[in-house]
Amino acid sequence: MISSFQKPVRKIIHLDMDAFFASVEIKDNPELKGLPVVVGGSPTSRSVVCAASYQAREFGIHSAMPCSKARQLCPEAVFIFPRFERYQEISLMIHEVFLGYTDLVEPVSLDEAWLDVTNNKVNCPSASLLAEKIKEDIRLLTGLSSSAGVSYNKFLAKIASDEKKPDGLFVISPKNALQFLKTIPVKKLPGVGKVTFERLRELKIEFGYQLFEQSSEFLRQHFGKFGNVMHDLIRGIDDRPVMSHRERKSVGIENTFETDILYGNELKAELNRLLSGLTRRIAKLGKKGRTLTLKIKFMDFTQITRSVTDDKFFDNDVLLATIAHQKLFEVCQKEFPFKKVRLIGLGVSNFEGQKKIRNENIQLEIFPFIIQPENLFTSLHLQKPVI
Amino acid sequence: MEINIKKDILIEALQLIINISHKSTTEPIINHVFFETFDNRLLTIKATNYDNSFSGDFEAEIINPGKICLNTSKLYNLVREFSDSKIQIKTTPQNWVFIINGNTKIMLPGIEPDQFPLIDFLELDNPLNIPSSLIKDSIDRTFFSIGENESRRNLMGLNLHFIKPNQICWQGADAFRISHDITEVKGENYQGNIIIPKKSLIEIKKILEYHNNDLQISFNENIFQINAGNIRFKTRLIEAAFPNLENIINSEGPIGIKINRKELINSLKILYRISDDDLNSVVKLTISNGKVLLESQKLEFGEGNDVILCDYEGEEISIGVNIKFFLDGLQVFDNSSDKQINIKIKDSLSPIILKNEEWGNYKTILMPVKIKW
Repeated sequence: MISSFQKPVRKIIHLDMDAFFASVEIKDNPELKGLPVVVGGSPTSRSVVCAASYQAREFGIHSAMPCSKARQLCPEAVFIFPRFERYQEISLMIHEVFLGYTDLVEPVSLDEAWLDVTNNKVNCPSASLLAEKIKEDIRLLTGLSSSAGVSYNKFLAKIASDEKKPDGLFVISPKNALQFLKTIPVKKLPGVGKVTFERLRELKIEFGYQLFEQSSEFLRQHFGKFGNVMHDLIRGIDDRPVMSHRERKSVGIENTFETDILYGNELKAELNRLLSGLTRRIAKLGKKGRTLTLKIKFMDFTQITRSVTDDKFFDNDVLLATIAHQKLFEVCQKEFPFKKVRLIGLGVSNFEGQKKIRNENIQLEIFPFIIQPENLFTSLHLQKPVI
Repeated sequence: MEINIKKDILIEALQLIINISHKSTTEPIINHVFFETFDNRLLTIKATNYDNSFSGDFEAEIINPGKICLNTSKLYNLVREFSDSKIQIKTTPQNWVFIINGNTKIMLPGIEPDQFPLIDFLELDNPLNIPSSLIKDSIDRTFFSIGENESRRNLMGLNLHFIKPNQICWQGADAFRISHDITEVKGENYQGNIIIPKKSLIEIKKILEYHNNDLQISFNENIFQINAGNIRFKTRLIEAAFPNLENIINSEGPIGIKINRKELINSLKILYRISDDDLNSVVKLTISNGKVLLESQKLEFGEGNDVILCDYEGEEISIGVNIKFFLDGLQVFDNSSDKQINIKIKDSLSPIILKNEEWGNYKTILMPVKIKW
């Protein structure tokens, strides 16, 4: 029962482009239509799949799978090197479509966004009708198909958009939310990854209805804070607002090597390459961070991260490089000598002024009025004739 | 020394000096109060921190004349706890002090009174006799706007400026606001332009509240003195030039509205509650025919608005103001019986002036906040 004391019901749309990168490539190269298209690196390299068309997915290919494995699954697949600038361009066009309906747009990635359409610019009371219109607008503008989920919070909208892919629209209303949630596998909950899922399975919780039966104390005991979150989610509770301006919290870059490398000049050179990429990204962002994180994945896929937080913001590249090399030396030479490295990554976070909301208000001061009173107060009387 | 003094009198005296007597200092003597019997019927109480100095004569029954120094805060805290109305203070030649209240006996170590710094009040030319309420009002009306930023020393005090031989202009200012008052005094041929430190104003106000009568003030370039009946006080001045604010003060904008002050304060307080304290909370005033719309900034932590009726007729105008500064400026008028406040505006980037009919010469000037919403 929704009483008048409860918060007004929000209307949230989660919009997800169907096989975005692959669809853009097919749109730009129509001859690829109907073929299994894989966007990613070369199948002979160790890179992973960024996106796969639906035809490719039929062979079991999915994102994040090594390209070599994709080739094994489907030898005739067309491999295309990703063109991120092009995807960004189209993503911006789609974002413009969203803004025509509401300003409350929270982009998740290039191909995904949440929209709060409770109060929308076209005064349409039906969110599903709006979702239909947005999908149509995107198709007309870009020729690409998308899937939409409509519900009363972000979590349910996201789950809904996954329900009828591709080119789908699925609505979870407050009335049928609980029923729906009881049927979903707990794997679908945001935040439930491999580890959490394993532990849930050990507790014999695999589906929504099983999770629903657990008390919040029980879940908190086994999963800490996240237990509370799951307890809420399975009851369809998610109060996170759609944030239209989300601040970037970190910048990172990583690289998987063609062949695994031992600590030495070659690894140091790879680190230098990452450093120059990282400093470029930081410069583009225009912010200074205080924390540098080094990520190392070894040949046996074990992963280690080391972070250094300085009192001051890193404002020169030399300092960043010194710290990164120092940490690389500590990990690869001292802690794990003779262990080959598969991947290294670098990230900077803890940006200046991160917690503050950008305040565009400017409190004016009295001083200009004291120092140059003529300019501001009596300019009309003091104007000199132009000679 | 041996004296009897009433608890009320001693407490009142100690309250006047408790902040002057420093608590933490490398020089223990100045966190002590100096007692000396005078004229066989008075106790002279002195305190100093070199910037501010105080000397007052208080009624006491003198049994044996003498003098002593005692830790001020220790004595003050003790006396406040005492239950009997009479306090007896006796000293020994070794500077031990016995304090007796009813059946309670306390013994405290004192300090050799000759170590206490000499406080000399100057006989300055042309002292001015003035009602204490006049100075108190001026402090009350300007205090909030006086600066606290160490990098602008000349704004860290109250400016007292004889703009005419019988007219004092009182001004307080920080980077964002000014308060300005003009009062007339009896007599003639007065002159001077000084800055009294904000910290000293708190001590001065206490004296003015204690001595609710005419008093005498005098000053030179370095010090400001008050002679209030049995009390004498002096403070060092801020030796700097106060900026000339005449232009900004006389820059009354053409747009004027009259509005109920209490209603405006209420609205602002509500909007202030919504805002995040980390940010400078800003209200946007939109003035149109017959009404003022007050809006908070629309941020994640909420938003709000309110409408107050006013007498305005003319083009619509919007201006942003820091809510805290606005409230400070409006609440100064709490002591006025005038229910209305006059707000004068030129445009969204020029100073805003607040005044009312009752207080004639007094005005507060606020700089607006430039907003893009």
